[in-house]
Amino acid sequence: MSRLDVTSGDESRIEDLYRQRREPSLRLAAFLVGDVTVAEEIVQDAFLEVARRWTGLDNPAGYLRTAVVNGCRSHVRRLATIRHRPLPQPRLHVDAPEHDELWGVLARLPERRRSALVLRYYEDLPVAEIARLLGCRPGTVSSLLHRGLADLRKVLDHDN
Amino acid sequence: MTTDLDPEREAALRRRLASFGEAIVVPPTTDGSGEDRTEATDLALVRERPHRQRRPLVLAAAAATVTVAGAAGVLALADRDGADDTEATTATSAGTASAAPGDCEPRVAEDGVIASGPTEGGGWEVRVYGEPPHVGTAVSVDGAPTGGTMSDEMSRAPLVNNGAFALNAGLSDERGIVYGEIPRATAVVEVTTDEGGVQSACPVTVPTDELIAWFGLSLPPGVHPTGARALDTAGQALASGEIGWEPPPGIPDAGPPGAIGAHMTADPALVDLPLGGTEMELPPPVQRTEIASGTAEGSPWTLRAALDSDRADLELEYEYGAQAVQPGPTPLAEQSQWSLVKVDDRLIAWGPVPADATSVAITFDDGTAIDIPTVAALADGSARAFAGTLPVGMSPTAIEAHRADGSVALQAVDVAENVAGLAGDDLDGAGFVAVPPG
Repeated sequence: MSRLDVTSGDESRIEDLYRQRREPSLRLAAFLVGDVTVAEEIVQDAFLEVARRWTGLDNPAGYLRTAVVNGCRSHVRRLATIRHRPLPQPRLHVDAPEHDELWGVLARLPERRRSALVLRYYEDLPVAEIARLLGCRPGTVSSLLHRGLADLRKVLDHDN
Repeated sequence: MTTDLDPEREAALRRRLASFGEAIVVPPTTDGSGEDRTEATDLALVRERPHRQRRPLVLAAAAATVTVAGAAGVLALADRDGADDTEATTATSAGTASAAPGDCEPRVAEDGVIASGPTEGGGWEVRVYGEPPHVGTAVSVDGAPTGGTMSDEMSRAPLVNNGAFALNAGLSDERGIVYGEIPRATAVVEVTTDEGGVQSACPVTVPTDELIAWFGLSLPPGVHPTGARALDTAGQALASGEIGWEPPPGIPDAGPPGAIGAHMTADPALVDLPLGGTEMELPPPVQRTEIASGTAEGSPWTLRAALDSDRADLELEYEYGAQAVQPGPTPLAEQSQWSLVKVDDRLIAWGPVPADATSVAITFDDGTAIDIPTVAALADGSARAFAGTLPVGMSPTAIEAHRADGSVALQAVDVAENVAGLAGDDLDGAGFVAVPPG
């Protein structure tokens, strides 16, 4: 998987940023909200937010990721609130039935636990950055990761 | 700080997520022609993809910059038997259409209400608000917003001009509402359902929008929309589109999502394109002024408001992040959205209140209560706001906005139920709808 170094500053134009970061951002958002269609809307909104602030951004790609994560978390929380019950089963269209087992567990995790796992083990972000994105202390992130890995134990141990 | 909690499981999860991520089907950036039409205009990044779905919205809650509600998971509409005179549409039995192309009378919705109907709790409606190009829709059931599209939707002009009309569905186990944009020459709209039936709706125009017309209808329990057609007087389809969804992998019997955004595509042989929609300009960044501040577990927080705005526009900034709320078209005296933010082990309560609310009382599970004075959220005094840190370890059971005479202006709904979710460390906020008592 190719990833753009968000600190490299190699996105001189927003079109370049869009071409390079749209797909990775969509996949990240899809993991967080469980719905590619919703993810597409959130990512598009995030790019619009970046476009508005383009001239004042030191790290557009980093800002984009923050906007995507915030957008996803807001979406999930709003769904949880309006339904007054646990989150709906996420909807993620994949062409890989072998992933069903993992997704079946991941999708049922609480939003913040799933976000921590995805940001750590899919995005490869350090704990401190995850804490900033999730708005909590690093110790809380470690707790979320511990519990999330435990939740996924059966699926992962089957791998091993 | 190390997070090598279990190296083998961590490595396995990394592999599985990487593989899974690659398998997620990502929509292309092109319109099917194979040409990447991504371009940056001086206004915004515009993705020229005619099939882009309009954004379904959800109720502003814990961390929202949202105006109206969207994922219609709480739609609960009564049967349409005995629909009142305000009903803009007609529900039909399966396999029949109640309105033929010649049956509909031209109707202009002066108040923006393009469709409505009765429910056991007071009724539902679909309302168009704003003026082109800043046009949005708001769906409400029993007075509470449950769906809609935002008025700052960026792609309305490209979509409308190219003949792609928004087609939205808000669905629940109990009821659904289908609504959207249609060509002005539409004589009747037919919505097909998964049970093989057809429901029809008459077109409605609004005085502020000369480009297009609108429609809306409700569906009976368990009936899901599969598509829609806008027919002219000769019965020709001016525009048509599908409303589809797929169950998630491994859950083949899962129902549809709470909200579906789709579109109807115009037949260019029957509809003169482009329609002449105006590209909207991005609004300038909102300037907010500090109106309140405090600390929670030693961490400072600040409540800011756009004092010169035409409606309450608030942002709460705290050590780990920020939340914003901008109420929709419903007056604050009728409804507001309040939030609790968890900063470590402390809760910050905040939100907008109507102009006559002087304090917000928060009652806890041990029977004690605190009063938080409100502050002006708009320069003209037409809206106020509150924010305050709650005592350590206290769990709210009621949140009420009081007037100077002690009467209750608004009270939060389902406080205990929402607060319960904050007990663990998986949630860092909760949102409440606040309405007048009774």
